[in-house]
Amino acid sequence: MLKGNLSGFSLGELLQSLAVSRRTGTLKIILPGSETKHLYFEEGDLRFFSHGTPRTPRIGQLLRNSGLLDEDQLKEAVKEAKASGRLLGKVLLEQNVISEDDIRRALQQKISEEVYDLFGLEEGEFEFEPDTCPEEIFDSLQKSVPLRIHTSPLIMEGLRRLDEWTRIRTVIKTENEIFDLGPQGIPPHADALTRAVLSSYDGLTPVGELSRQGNCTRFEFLLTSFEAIHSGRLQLLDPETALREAETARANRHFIQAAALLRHASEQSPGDPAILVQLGDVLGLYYQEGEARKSYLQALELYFEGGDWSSVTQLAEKLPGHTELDLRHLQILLQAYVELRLAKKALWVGNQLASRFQEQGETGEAVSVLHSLQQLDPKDLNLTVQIATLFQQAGETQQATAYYEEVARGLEAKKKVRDQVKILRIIADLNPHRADIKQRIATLVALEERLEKQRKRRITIAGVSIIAILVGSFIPLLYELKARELYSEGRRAKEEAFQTGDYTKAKLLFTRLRNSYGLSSPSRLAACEIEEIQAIERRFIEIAETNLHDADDEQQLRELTERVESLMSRARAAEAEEDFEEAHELIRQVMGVEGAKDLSVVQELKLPLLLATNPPGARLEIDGQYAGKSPHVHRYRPGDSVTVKITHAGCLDLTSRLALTSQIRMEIVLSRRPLAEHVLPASFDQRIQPAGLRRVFVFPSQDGNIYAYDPESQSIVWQQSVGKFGDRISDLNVREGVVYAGTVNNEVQALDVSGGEVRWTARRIRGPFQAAPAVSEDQRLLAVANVFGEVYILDHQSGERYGEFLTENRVAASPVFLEGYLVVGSTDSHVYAYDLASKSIRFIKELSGEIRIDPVVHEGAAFFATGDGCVHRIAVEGEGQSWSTRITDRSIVALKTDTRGILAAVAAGHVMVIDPAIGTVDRQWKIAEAAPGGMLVDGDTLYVGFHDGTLVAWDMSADRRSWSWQADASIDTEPLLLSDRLYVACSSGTVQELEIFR
Amino acid sequence: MTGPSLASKHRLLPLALWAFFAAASSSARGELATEDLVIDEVADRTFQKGQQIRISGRYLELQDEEVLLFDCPARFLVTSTGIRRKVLEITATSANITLSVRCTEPDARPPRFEILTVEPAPPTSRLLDRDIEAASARGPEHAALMFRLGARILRMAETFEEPEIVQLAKKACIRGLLLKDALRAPGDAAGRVADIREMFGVVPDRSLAMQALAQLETKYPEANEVREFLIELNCRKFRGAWMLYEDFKSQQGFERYGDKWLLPEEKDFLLTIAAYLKKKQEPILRRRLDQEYQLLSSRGEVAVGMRPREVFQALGYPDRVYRKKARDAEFDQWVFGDRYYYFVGDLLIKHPEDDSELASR
Repeated sequence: MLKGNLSGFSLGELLQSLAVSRRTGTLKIILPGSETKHLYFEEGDLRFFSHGTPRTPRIGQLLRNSGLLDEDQLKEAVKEAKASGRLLGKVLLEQNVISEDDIRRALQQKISEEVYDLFGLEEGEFEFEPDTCPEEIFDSLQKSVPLRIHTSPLIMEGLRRLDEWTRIRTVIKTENEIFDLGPQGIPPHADALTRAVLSSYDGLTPVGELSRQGNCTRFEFLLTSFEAIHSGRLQLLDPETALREAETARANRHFIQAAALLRHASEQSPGDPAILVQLGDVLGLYYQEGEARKSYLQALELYFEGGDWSSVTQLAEKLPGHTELDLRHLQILLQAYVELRLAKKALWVGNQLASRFQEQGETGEAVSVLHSLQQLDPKDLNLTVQIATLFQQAGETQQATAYYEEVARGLEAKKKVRDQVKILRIIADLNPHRADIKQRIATLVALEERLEKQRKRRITIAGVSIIAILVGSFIPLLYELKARELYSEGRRAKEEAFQTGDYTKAKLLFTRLRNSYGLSSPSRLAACEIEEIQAIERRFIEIAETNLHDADDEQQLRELTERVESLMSRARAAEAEEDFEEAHELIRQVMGVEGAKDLSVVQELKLPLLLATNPPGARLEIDGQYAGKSPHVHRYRPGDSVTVKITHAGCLDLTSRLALTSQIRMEIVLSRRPLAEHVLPASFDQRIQPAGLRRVFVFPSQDGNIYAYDPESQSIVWQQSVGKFGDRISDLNVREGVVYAGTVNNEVQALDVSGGEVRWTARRIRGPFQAAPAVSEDQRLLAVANVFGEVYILDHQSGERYGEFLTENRVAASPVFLEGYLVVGSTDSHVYAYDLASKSIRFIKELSGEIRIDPVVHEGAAFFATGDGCVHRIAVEGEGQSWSTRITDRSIVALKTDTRGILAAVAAGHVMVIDPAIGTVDRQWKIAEAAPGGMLVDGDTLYVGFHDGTLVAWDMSADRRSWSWQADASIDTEPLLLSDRLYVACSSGTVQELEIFR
Repeated sequence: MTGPSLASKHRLLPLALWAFFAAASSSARGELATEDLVIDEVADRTFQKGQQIRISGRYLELQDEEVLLFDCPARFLVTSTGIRRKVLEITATSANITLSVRCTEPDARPPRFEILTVEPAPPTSRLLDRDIEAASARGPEHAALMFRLGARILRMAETFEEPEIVQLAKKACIRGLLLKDALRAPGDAAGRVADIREMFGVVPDRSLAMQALAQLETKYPEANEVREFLIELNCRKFRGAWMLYEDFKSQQGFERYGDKWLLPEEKDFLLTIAAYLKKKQEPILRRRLDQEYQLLSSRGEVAVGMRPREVFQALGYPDRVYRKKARDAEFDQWVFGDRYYYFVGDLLIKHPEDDSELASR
């Protein structure tokens, strides 16, 4: 076998040698990149040519490229072959388009062209195996057509072309280049070849691709192109245009064209990595993953060379996986991540790189990688440990020890004794002879124990210090607080003295403050106050001395008397008309008349004071004497001081000392006092309900019973067991002598209100229930909903089931019957309207929040409050809500109706009045600062119970608080009004009975 | 075979003509260029012998010298050890491969191909993205292809536990709907609903269908077909947005237990009963003296064996009480906010502070 390299022995020489010696055998040429060509020679002449596989050339293309067939003829023959099912070659022969010689010539030309192309090879290996023909690699067409190509002309032509190729390559450097026709266009007298070649240029397709498509050989095409370029008829496409065209092609999904344009642009602008990235993107879009990757990596190199770290990292994201990257590219990535301080990614890549180096036994390189990672976080002792471990694994004990010692030093600086001991133990393992390390370990272990003890001691000392600081700061605080208290007391005494003129007490208090608490901050203020009091007293003395010198004569006295009489007469008239302000003004004028003070009538003159109480009709005692019932007019001289005692049934007694100066009227609101307190077996977070019998009311208790209670006789009328201790049954509904309740025992019960007997029990109904059952207006049906969202409609008389439906969450609010429908609001934020006639849901409306409080019915519509502070009007006839209004940011806790509109109690302590027609807030009252538990409307009075135990009676006509009362426990439900008695249930288990004063 | 003997045979003209026609025949068929196919197209297509295609997909395994790709009906024969080695090399690091193949048995079901070359394919998300682009380029009449592609992506996401590609399934389906949309008249809501139905038939993803319908509803608020289909898909409109019934129930605070939606306390109740019945309970639960229980309850503490009144003395009345009967025993659940206490026969068997076996079921 003959073997060799083409760098030392050219193809021309090789073929010449085979021709001269008339050799038979197969020449195998191995090109760079492992591509192979096989040439079979018979007695020096070339017979077969192959690329290594028996791929049969396409006959149609072969003939067309040889110029024996034009495009139209080929198309027509292919069409005919497909239609008739015959072979293309046979069709062409039958049509007399070609002859058998044509086929032979075409084949010969093709093989020759293949061989000519090999002449340009400068690298590659060859093997000649004599007398051998690997038949399987040569295609059947060659085998069937007897060919014999003489080698000498082949060599001559090949060498000629080699020279031409050298010229062509000076202009067409790569076959990726794209040219376009210049302004001169195609010369008018050009031959057919030139015309065909030039007309194929479109400014979009690379020259290599055009040369393969043309009807001439590649060599002819490129030579013709070369000449056209030389003469300026073809122009190289500039990179900017190429990029523009590439963008258009990509947008039109012509990825191959876009890639060609980008490849051209990249070759023209070799330093531009952005083009390479674009090229990679486009290649990826049409499955050229390997090529895309190459482009990306080239771009990566360029970005690296340009120091554009940011782009390097961005580009890294496009590469499928770092595991496939070679060491150099991993190093580039690492450097980029380090430069950009992307620690996490740098660590990832760095560790991979270090592992690769380690696998290859390049410990030094691995260490250098880890060192670069250390730059990112020099304090990261973990990396140093890794380096040390690398050396340890490589058997470099000395180096490993050095790094471990560095770690130990780092840990010492951080005072991590325990970790330091661990590292030192590794060093000791590596260096068993080093006694110093063992000694250090022993010292550190002892130190650790000592530190532990110190830590415990420190905690004890810190505790003692905190206590001392607290004590030290508390005493001055008490001193200052006491001084402020004295100052406030002095100020109050001074204000009282403005009325009485007696400043003794105030002066005494301020003086005591100065003497006893001289170091406190109010001490200086007390000094100012004393000075002020002294100034007032000096002025009083001056006034008294001036009055002593006044003198009157008789005439003046008469005129004076007349004038006083006139004023007094008008004052009495005003008082008779209850115009106390006018009466006061006139009397004050009398008192102010110059010289009138000496008149006995004036000296006896008193100002009227209207004393009123809430509630009115209270018994008044003034200075121990019965004065009458409120309202009462009391007369006084400015400066008088009286003690008033007020008593009223249903209110707490009140005794008050009044300093009278210029008061005209006083209304004293009496604190309510319960007439009775009923201690009952319930915690009252559920409503009490009127039984309809005198003042008897019913209530559920969590001791497992329902009770009926008579407050007049203060006795339980009856009790009926409906469950077990702890059971929380539904709120009650009492209608027409029947109490309805849903129980935990999965039942609904109807009890007789007079004796508590069970009228009926509906079973096979799932409990528990929270909301009270609802009864239809016609007393025919009862509806009850449970905490699972199931709604049952029962016959009012028998408890038999009439219908049922399901909501999607708990039902916490009572259902309401409305014009032939049952309307139910659920915590699933929807309102369900159930048609009682057809027993089907008519509509479901979504509201803006959960429905948890009982709705109210007003003028043919139901009003629901939702958890987001909105009120919604639902009218059945309109199949939905008429309006929704957001009235508060807080939650609404109760709804009531009244002639004024819909009343909504809000958690902030407000009650709002909403217009039921349009949903606007007409009025808003701030009732208290607490959250309401329930409310009750009685005429113009609104009773609101609050969770802080306050009960407020609000006068809705006057927009003001009428009175209030403070319970000793939370009021979580609405009060109950029965025969002018207000029953307020408290969470402490009592019901307070209050009198209503109408 | 040696060269001279072969040469002598080739002098026979008839044989040459036969070879010519054979070559011409393969040429006529071989005029087709290598075509890039999306996997989902393979089932639709008819192939010619020798036809070359390129196909990319998730590599499954090499079985009987055939490469299997995920969800691909066709099989690809490995023709040489080189190809085999290449397949194994590539699939060691890459989940997806690109095969250039030639059809060998077009009439077989599924058709068979032989592998010509094999290359690594891009990562899954990029590959699928490319498939979407390629399939959408087929034109509006091939919208169903997009749906099939979407279905395949969903199967992939499930099979290979790659939830991040679910978005791509949606993208494919939406692209398919957009293609169909282009063929519809502007006011044709019913037709568009039919398109979504078609998509749902191929990709039975209610969430996706719901999203498409919800979008359609904003465009055609009056179209009943849209709402009807949404209801049919068991969707609910809540807080202004359509959602699946299960999302709606979750938002309502319910939890799934088998095929039921339960309130958290109900679910806990059922589980506790089941655990109680499964475990053999000690016959004596009330193991302390009454005075000891009194002392505990006065301190606000509860213990197993307490009676309801003692629990009440410790904690007050419950917010709600649930009761259930099972195997002749009556179970009570006292609910205090999100804390649950369980009684059987009026004795406390479990409470939140309990660390017994029943509590840790």
